[in-house]
Amino acid sequence: MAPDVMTIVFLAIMAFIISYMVVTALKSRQEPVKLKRTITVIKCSSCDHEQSRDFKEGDFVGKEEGQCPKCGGKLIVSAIYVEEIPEKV
Amino acid sequence: MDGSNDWASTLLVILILGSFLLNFTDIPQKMQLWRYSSYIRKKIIQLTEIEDEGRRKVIKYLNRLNVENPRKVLEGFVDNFFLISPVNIEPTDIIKRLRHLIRNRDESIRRYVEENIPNASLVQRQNAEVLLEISSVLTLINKIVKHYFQLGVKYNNWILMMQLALELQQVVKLAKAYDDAMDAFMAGMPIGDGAGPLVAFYLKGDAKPVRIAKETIYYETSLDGRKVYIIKAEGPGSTVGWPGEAVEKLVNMLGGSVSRIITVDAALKLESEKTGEVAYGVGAAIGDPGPEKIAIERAASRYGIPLDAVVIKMSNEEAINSMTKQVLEGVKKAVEIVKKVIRDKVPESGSVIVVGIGNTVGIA
Ligand SMILES: [Zn+2]
Repeated sequence: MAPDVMTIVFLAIMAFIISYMVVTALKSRQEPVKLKRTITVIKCSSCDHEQSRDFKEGDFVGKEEGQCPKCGGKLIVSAIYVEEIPEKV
Repeated sequence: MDGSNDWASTLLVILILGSFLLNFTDIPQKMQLWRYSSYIRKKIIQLTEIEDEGRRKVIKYLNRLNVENPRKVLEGFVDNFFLISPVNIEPTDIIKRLRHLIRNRDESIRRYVEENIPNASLVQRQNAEVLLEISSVLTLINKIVKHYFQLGVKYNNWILMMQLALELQQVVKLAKAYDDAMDAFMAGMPIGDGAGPLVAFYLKGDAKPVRIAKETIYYETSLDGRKVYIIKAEGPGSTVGWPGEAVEKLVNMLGGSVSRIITVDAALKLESEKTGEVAYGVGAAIGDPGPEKIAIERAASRYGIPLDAVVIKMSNEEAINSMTKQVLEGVKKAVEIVKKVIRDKVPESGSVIVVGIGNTVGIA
């Protein structure tokens, strides 16, 4: 009867240690990779027209981007920012 | 002897032995030292990978600029160009001396880049400077971590090892942030620290720039009858300009008849704060080592001009990486706050100086 108690105590401790190690190992591995995209916002300097597209190399805030399709005014890059793409479920 | 007595005495022996081992030997510490050092070794491998990746990025960028021997250019930069801080037990003139040293260093870096990358535009050269500096920082971080690790091993200093292991997660995160930041500078995109210059850009409207100090410009515009002077670094290359000297010159130029000076800058947020929160207060919002900040403070106090600060909160990582949407929202909020301060606190027909502090990469 006596060795059984020892065995149970021993097994319980081992089970606790192993599950603790497994949990820590799993936790450290989980690092969700977030997808990001960079967006360039272009605004008309004369009217409210605003459009956005993906960032192209060479873009900078204040860059002239041709004519406004609505009023013919100057189009200017007004912001560049990074946005996280929401994960598809 | 019956069975129960037997296991009780075994347990007793184990307890006594165990407590002896725990209390009177170094075995637990040795085991911890071993565990922490294997963890640190893993992290050092990770840091070295980050450093190598950073170097690859710099070399790729230099290749694009048709540099003949990019590896040599990189190796000639890393580890060099350190700055020894001026003597501070005799503080007389310390700002002047510090400014002198900082400008000397900037100048020699500029010359190094100019000599080695002769066929690039100014913007490309400015971005290359930052890429080389980041690569240098990554090497330094790796070296410092290795230094403490090797000290710990050499002297069996398990407290040092433990401290290093506990700090390392943050250090690796910072190194990764620097490595990611390289992408922003290579593409010439605005970074989080560009919040100040972006506020200045939104306030200036159609005004034309006038050069006032090295790599620093000002715009003259108006808001509801108030004259607004806006200072920022000259973009879209990576530079912070000399905002302090610019403010000093502009205030002197206007003969001190300025109602307020408003500085706008990115500020480090506390963990519990949200990115993009905007706060305002009093003082010069600028995070330079001293010379530029003191120039603004002196210019303001010489003529008794109130000094306002507007800050946009973000983390260290966000400040050096591509501008996020939350920071951009903060910038828009800050523009409204600056306008409100001007309307509420500057008398009509008065004039005000707004300074957008920060790195203007990707912002003209
Ligand atoms: Zn339009």
